[in-house]
Amino acid sequence: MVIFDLPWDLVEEILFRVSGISLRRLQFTCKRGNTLCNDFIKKHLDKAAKQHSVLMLRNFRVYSLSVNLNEIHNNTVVDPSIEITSKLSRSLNESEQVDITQVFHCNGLLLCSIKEDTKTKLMVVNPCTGQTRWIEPRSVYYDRYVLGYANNNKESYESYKILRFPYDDSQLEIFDLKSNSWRVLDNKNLHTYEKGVSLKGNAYWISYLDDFLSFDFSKERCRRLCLPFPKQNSYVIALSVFREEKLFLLHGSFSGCNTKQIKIWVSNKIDDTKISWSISFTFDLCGQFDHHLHSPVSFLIDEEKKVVVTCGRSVEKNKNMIHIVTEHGCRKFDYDTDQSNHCCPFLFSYVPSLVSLNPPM
Amino acid sequence: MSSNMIMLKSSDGASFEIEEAAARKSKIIANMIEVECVDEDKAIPLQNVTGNILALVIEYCNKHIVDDDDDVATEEASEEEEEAKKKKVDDWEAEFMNSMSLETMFELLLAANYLNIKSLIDLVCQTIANNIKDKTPEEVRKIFSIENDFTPEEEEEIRKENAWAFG
Repeated sequence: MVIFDLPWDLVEEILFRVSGISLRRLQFTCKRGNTLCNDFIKKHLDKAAKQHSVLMLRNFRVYSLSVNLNEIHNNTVVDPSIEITSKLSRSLNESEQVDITQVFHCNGLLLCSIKEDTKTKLMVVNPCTGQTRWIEPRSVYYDRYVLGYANNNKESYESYKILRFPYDDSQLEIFDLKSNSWRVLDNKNLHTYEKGVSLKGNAYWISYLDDFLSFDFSKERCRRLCLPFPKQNSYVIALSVFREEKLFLLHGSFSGCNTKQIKIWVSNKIDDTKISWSISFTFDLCGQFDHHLHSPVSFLIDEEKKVVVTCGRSVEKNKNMIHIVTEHGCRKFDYDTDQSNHCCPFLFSYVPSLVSLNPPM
Repeated sequence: MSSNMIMLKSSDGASFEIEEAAARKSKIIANMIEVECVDEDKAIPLQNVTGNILALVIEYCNKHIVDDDDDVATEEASEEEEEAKKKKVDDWEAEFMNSMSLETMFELLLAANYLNIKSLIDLVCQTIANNIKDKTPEEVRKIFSIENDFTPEEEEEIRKENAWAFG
């Protein structure tokens, strides 16, 4: 018997427990798998959406990772594992691959900046449906782009917009997926180099001034918000979003001559003018390991197990690093040497969705 | 708590004695007991389940009936105890599934479905899904003995149609 010989309701029960991006791969196994998975994705992907994945951008490629923190919880002998399981690609042929310099996640869609010769191109892709939209940017520079949606309407492609924030002092620009065109915004520069994260359609960043920024895609306005801690003595500050529900701030600070402290803040309530934060957990690192990373750092956390997974470039050798940090110690995973300043390693949690990028046929 | 024993008979004629409370994990058997169509001296015939699979089902039910009893007895158990207990069950389930071939898992899933044991369906489906997760199409084919019936052209075509996937 093979899996596809089971009664359909049981095959569905199994597929519900497989993540959206793995479903896509099951399609390539055989003809029946292709038909069954296609039907399933069309019918049920939204229900399967809680199966989130961990993705990582490094050296111009986006990988899916399998992160296993179980052992940390069950046993203080830290033996977690991280494995690369697949790569986002256009085809199997390596020569047809393109270089992805930035990636931004919003509701199952990935906004990728793609380097082509001396130009940058933008692509929005839904890796679960395979659908893409290519967008011609108005500048050739390595500007930052974020994706969001207006009016809390995440179902329709019409509410999705891309914000461009340039490195220089030029103006912000918005691209509407509906009108397929760019326009200039009145807002001033955002004062941030960070990648930003998306939560409920809006974008959030840590700025290089002493604060925190948000961009509201409905009102098309920036806001400055306060960080819940002073920036002095910080050795790392990073922002993350988990399952598109809450924002998390990682604050690493020097708390003594040989002691570092990691504090994780979680957002409770977010309104127009203010975010209220509370501390999720804190632990001291007692100088027992080197956790120096170049900014920007990205991270994921497991609140229950009090585990932080950070990703960034090592200070000495520009290595792409992942650290799994707990109060008992730290496990380092080093990958290849970072080939370019234009592609910082970036780790994020991905939640699949069925949102379409084009008008309905 | 009743400790009535009932008899189950597999499709290949093997008989098993099981506590009624454990057998009630199966909604089908529970229904039969409710409508009193269970004769104490006669085994319930289960035509779709072979002996070796029924033995696994019974092992699962026996294990979980003990846990359910515990739940009633220690209603005010502390969170830590609850957690420890849950971990014990998780460990047992992991071990239970670990010892099984995929072929057996499929048969166990069909049996759990026929006997309508929701928690066992969940457990087996999750285990099978874990075998699919994070695997390449080639690995999935190997694990599940799926024959690749695409011609190279068809495979190329389908990959093209599904451009930009994680593969």
